[in-house]
Amino acid sequence: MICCIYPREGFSISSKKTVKNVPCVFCGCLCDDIALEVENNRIVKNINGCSLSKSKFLNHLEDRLLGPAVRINGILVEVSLEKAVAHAAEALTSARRPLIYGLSSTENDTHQEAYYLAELLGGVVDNTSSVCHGTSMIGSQESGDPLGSLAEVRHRADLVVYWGSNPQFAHPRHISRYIRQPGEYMQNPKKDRKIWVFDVRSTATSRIADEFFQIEPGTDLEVISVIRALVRGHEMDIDRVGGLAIEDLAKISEAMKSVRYGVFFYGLGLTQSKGQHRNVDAAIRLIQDLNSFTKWVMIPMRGHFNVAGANETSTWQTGYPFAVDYSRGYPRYQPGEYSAVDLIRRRETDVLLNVAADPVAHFPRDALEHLKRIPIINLDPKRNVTSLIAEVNIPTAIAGIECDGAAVRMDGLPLYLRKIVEPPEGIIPDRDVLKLIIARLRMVTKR
Amino acid sequence: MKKVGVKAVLISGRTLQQGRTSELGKLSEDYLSSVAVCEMDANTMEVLGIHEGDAVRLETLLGDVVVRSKLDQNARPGVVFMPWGPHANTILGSETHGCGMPSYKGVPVILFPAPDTSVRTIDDLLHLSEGGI
Repeated sequence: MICCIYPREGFSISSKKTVKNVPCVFCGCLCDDIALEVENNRIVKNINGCSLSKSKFLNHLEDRLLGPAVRINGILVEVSLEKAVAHAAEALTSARRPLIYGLSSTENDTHQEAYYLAELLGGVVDNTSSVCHGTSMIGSQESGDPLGSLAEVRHRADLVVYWGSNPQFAHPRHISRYIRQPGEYMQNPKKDRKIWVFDVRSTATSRIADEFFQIEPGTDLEVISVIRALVRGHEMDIDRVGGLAIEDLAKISEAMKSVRYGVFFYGLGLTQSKGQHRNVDAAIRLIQDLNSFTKWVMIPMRGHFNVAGANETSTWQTGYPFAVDYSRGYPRYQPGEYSAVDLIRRRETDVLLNVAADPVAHFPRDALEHLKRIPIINLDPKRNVTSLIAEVNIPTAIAGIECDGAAVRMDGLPLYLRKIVEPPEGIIPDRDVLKLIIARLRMVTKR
Repeated sequence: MKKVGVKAVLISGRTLQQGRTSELGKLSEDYLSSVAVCEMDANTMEVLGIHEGDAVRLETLLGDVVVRSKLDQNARPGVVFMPWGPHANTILGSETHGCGMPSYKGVPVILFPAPDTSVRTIDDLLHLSEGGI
């Protein structure tokens, strides 16, 4: 069932092509200038991609789940797709509190099927943003969304702030593609565009920045609140906050007010640290304050290539960006109640349908303890930690490599994903597997 | 086993190595060796009496995990770092304070040297509690 797979029969060894302008399907930058060389249905060269992009495209055939499998007497046994779908549909219909989770490493049409399935089941649908930028959603619901675009940043920004973000590791081309490139109103970005990093530790990004402000862990809210107060002209009666001198923060606030165009990129160092959505809320209000003096925008550094898409499609179709419950027949939203980690740690979820994520590798220990006791239906192209304990594994095509679709960049720009190679024999996209599950469910329940 | 530990704050996050090796396979040796590490400053290593690559045990209120130590020349004492993954999650809590987000960053931790102890495999981690899979 599991191994590296090799080109399909029917592809001549001499079959070669180069595909240009391919959007990369690793991180939220969705760099759409990738050129791929394909030989015999295998990607052999990635031009322009970063090391993460190269690893994703060049290893697309490595470590794949090759066929549907169902756990029988504790052992995963290969079965037909029809049988795996029937088993999945049966587990979902017999569940009292099913959870559909993941969706960030797949394309938008899959999301549509996931929401429909959640509605049919009266279940909960949540995406991986609940453990990354979900708190950004909550912050923006409270205070607004002063979003900018990456193109604007490249053409106009003269001050770039990375707060709690290490793009050199998580988004390796972010700086080289958008920040260090000249733009319409920024001819010499290396000299005229400054990069500041705020973080609790020295990182690969802080070491190439023009300024690095190291703050104490868990003090983001205090530091941002003090900068806000200084921007608004208040005097502080303390000497230091979060490890930074008020005198330095005063200089920071003056510099932020005097730039032509500032951008505040923020990562999980802000959204996951103590204060969580309150940190984001404070940052949004800082940007709003700064807009009384000059132009500022903020952009979340989204991790998975389509986690922003999962928030967008969920909002279009359910009204809410994540943590959506259909148990009453209509969508309700409450992070902390219907978010995946909460449902699982409270032992509410009795069946998990995982689509293009790896919760067993990324959820905290006591959530994992419950996941080990409930049936998991796992849709993913590759082996992962979740596949080890799943009751049903259904391999799927890799979105943006083996099937087309749409995804949303970190700044909200939708991009069309390309199908570059054929998926392995018998393997279909996530959206088609969900359609089969829905059809089976409707047949069984006559809904 | 040395009883004296070093207190620190644990930050978990993304690394380039973790992202790159996840595409080789989440169950591959490369991936596991990229996530089963704890980065720390030289002073902390000195106090613990360990060298880079030695096993170190991290304890939080939730549990403990043994990983390899890694020297971060730029780190300050008091803050240690682990890449996201199954090992870090073993010692992180799932309380979300009503917003859906568990505590992945800023977790109080105590580090101990762990001589003669091996780093846990994925199978070990999945069988931590009774029942296993």
